[in-house]
Amino acid sequence: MLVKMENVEKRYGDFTLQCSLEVREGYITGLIGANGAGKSTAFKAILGLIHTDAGRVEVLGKNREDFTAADKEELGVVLAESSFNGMLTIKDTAAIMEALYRKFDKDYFYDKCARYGLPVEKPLKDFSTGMNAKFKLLAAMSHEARLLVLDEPTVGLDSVVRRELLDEMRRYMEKDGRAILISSHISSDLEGLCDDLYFIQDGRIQFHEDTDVILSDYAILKVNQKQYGEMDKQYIEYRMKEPFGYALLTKQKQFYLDNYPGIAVEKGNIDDVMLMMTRAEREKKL
Amino acid sequence: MLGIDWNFAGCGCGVPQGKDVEVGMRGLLVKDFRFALQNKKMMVMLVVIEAVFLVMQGAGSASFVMGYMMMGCGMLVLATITTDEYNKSMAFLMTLPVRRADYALEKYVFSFLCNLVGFFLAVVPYCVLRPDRVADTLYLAVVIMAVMLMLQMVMLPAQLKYGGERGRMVLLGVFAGGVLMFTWGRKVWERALAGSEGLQEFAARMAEGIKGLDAAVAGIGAVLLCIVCFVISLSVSRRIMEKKEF
Repeated sequence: MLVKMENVEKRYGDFTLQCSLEVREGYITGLIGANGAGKSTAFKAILGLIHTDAGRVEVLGKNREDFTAADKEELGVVLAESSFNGMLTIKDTAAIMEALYRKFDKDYFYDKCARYGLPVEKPLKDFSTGMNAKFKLLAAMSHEARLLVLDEPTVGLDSVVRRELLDEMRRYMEKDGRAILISSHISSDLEGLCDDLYFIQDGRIQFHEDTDVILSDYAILKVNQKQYGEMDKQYIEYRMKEPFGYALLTKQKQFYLDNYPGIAVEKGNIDDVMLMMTRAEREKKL
Repeated sequence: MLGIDWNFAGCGCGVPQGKDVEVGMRGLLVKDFRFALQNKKMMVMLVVIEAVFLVMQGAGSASFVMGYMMMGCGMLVLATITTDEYNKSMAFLMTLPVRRADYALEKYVFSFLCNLVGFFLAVVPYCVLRPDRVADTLYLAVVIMAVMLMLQMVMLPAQLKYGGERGRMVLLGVFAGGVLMFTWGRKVWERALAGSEGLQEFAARMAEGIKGLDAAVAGIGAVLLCIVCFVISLSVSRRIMEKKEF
């Protein structure tokens, strides 16, 4: 287990993070949720950037409190709103990383920067959003880290570059013993990349599932009032009122396909599941 | 030594090996020197100003120009803290193989190195210009450097605690308070002195004792004072960093 959060709590005024989460070796784990749901706070707890009020955080099998600078060399980090100082250039950052990371691969870093057209002598503050996103990810992947913690790493990228960087992440995972924890607003990225997903809302993990299971077993059923009244509801998780009747979230798509052929069944995807969980909870959780 | 925890244990971030501190320190120093190099223009300006004063006033302007030069270099460390906060960079810096305690310590090391550079940039032209007064120039430069270092011992914890802009405001408040306290204390002392013969005798003996102090003893005392201030200031800065959230 490369990350293990057990009943971690962090209070900020009205907001409380209460989170348990695991990232297994060889896995790409996604953390999804709306803005302000607690994703960044959970990431900060893992990275030791905040002091938690309760619970336990283990990273790379070690209590976060016992983490040393050498242990931190095993982490590659992308933060949504923070990076190297904008006055520095890629050349400067390479020199800094060379001094900090014993396994920093300068050639790999420069090769990748050249491949993605990043100028090495231009201050980072003059980079476009997309260039900055590429730089941050390449820097995180350039020192043989075992765990990548990536907070919104593909934000601001066009679909072509996004796909290239997602491929970089997949290639990164080809070596044994590694894992990635990633958050993103782009659910299609996560569907194609992640092995499992956590959904966080109001500081609490609402749901954890393997991505394959979501895509194969979850579905949105569209039913009218009459169909709803007659159907077996034991596998319905959430219900949302719609103009035509109800949208229902189930984890047992096949059951309804087999027994209710007249019902409209839409294949589940992350956006739908998130929407149902967020909206339906506001209306009524069955 | 002097109660300082050279192993930096108990910072809530694990007990580092000496190598960890060394690697973290090296990386942070590279970062700050790279930043300082971005301020080449400012350094060149300082040297030009020094040269202009030298030409216009000869060695007579030594204390002002040397102080100006050394302050310009010494204050670079405060600029690095401000830029570390720029774009919320501190959060990212703390994810690098650097412990919070290393960050605090590195600022002191960088400050000392900057002061040393300032010292040489300030001293060399005057020593060349007035080779007959090298000892006086060196003495003056050492005094200015000690004052600069002491100033930074106060400023660094304030900057780390409150950040660039707010830190400067807090410091202004502290210095204003200090001046008021000093003025008030002096008045109280003078009033007490006027009313007590015993106190006058004690003050006279103190003054004689200071006058009679050997320069070497005074120097050692100043160095010891600097070390004590460094230890206190560093441990306050470390505590501030350990409590900080990013």
